[in-house]
Amino acid sequence: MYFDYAVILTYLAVMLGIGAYYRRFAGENLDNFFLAGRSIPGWANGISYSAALVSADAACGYGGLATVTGAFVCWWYLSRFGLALFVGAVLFAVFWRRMGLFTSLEFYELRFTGPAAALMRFWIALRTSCIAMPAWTGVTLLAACKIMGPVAGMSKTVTLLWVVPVSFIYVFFAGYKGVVVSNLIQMAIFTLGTLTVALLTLAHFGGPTALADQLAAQLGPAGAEMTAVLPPVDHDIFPLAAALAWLIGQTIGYGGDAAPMGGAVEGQRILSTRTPREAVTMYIVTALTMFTFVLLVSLPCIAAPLLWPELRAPGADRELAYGLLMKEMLPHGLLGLAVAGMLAGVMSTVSDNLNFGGQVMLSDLYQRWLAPAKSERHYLLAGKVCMVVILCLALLVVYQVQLLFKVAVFMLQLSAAELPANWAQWWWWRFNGKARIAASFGGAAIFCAVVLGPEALVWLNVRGAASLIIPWWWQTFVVMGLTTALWAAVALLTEPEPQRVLDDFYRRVQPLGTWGPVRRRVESAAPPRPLGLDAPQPALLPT
Amino acid sequence: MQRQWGLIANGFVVAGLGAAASMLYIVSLSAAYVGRYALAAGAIAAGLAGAWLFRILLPPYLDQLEARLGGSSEPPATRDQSTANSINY
Repeated sequence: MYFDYAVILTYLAVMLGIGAYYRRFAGENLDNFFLAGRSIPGWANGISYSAALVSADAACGYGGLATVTGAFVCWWYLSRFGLALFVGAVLFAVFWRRMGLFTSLEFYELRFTGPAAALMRFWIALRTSCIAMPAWTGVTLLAACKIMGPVAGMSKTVTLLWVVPVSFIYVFFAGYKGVVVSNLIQMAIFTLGTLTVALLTLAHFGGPTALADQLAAQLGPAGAEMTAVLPPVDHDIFPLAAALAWLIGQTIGYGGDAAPMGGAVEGQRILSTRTPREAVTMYIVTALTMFTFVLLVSLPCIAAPLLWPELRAPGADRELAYGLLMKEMLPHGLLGLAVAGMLAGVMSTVSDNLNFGGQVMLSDLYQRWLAPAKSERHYLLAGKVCMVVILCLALLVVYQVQLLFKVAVFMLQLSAAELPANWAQWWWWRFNGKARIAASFGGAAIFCAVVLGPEALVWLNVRGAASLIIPWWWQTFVVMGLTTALWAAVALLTEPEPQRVLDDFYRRVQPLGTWGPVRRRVESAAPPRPLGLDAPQPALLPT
Repeated sequence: MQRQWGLIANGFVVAGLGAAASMLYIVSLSAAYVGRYALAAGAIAAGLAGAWLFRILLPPYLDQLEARLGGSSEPPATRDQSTANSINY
């Protein structure tokens, strides 16, 4: 047991050392503190982004899901992110990086103008820094407690005392570069720890084939179904239709959003890469590493019902599955490594969220609205204060103030309505600020009407109301379709953005899609280009 | 305009190849974990083929995008250089 604690303490000491090492670099200016001087290789940012997305809550959430699905649990995250991340990589990464923004939210005030632009930037910044980042950070900390409880018998407060101070100290001093470097170490430890659990679990049951046989023998047809690698057509929790709906629904609009997934740290990863091509690499590495990390924490939990059948009972807390497996499978020494891996996953997410949330709160709320003309040193200090604010809000989530988390989840659901607009703002010059407002806020109203309205009617015992409730995987398409019709109508019925705004955006970004009138205006005003550069480019594929 | 949307369509094809390759890699590992070795072998073989195609098609596609942007050697704009002047407050 002392060896386990030695492993954990060594890991914590390394994290503090990183904080000290990068302190001077991070303290030089805002670009260094929040974007590492825009010097990060794409592969490092890709692993860092995965670290932000994957944590102990992935082990709890996906692991719990695996106990009632099986091998096809992979489609829960493949359908959500598989195509979406590659669309972001191929079609958007170079454009985002070339804009040279400080935060991706500045996009709104480049693309649009007037109150609509300001409102979008303000609203997304508020949603990101004051709701999403505290909520996801709080959930991550709660997941750490769900792991450390069964594994080490730690209370919530003791777990937080292990995790929070070190996470905060190294990001407070080292900034984003410290976050990235620590992420690389953390995910190496995380991989080692989770791979160990996965292999020991397999060995415990006698190997893959023996595991499959025991699942069938003990759980009957349900156990045999757990060895399927595609969702069944008629599964109660995750049928094939849901996977297909997510694959399409979650891909629509991806890459064009300034704050995807309700405020993810993607923008910071793109903007801090060395070159536009490295931003492409970032996405690809994120996809491969994130899928691998989640696979490692979800697959072993397929076996958990064999040891704890009660995990499959209705109302059971399935999210305890991974912690129980760690406690059961790992001898001392390896247990310390696995715990360090879980702590690494938690601390990576916490530090990532604090740094990114602090950047948005500073730049898009404080500097934009309250203090627009202060010194660099002032903003560096203010950015750190912002991180403290977000951490305090996250701790509220941990200590039973679940409202913030529920609000964040609700916001995420609402944001599905506006997904097609995230492509329209890049690929259609007529998409204007009013259409953006219609998509974001009108879409939210449509979501409430389509999703919450029937539920409210059922609650009020209105006859026939139950027939209005459609499966959640079809709700997305209905809401998306109605919202698209709304913003398209608004765009066509209102004036386009001023020519100056459109021309400036086009010159800066050279977006794809329907920009004909703007392109012709810009090209007619531009000086003649040297011969040869206007020659047709060879098509990659038939157009 | 047709060429613009052609570039977008080509981008989706390239992205789809990459996505399919990554999905097949994960499916193969999942299948192997529960003893479905033949399925795992087939999935990883298909995934490697998709990855090879993706690796071939991506660089020329990015070259096309960068040719529209005036070449890739130009350093990206930084916040101090241009963003402050462009934001429509």
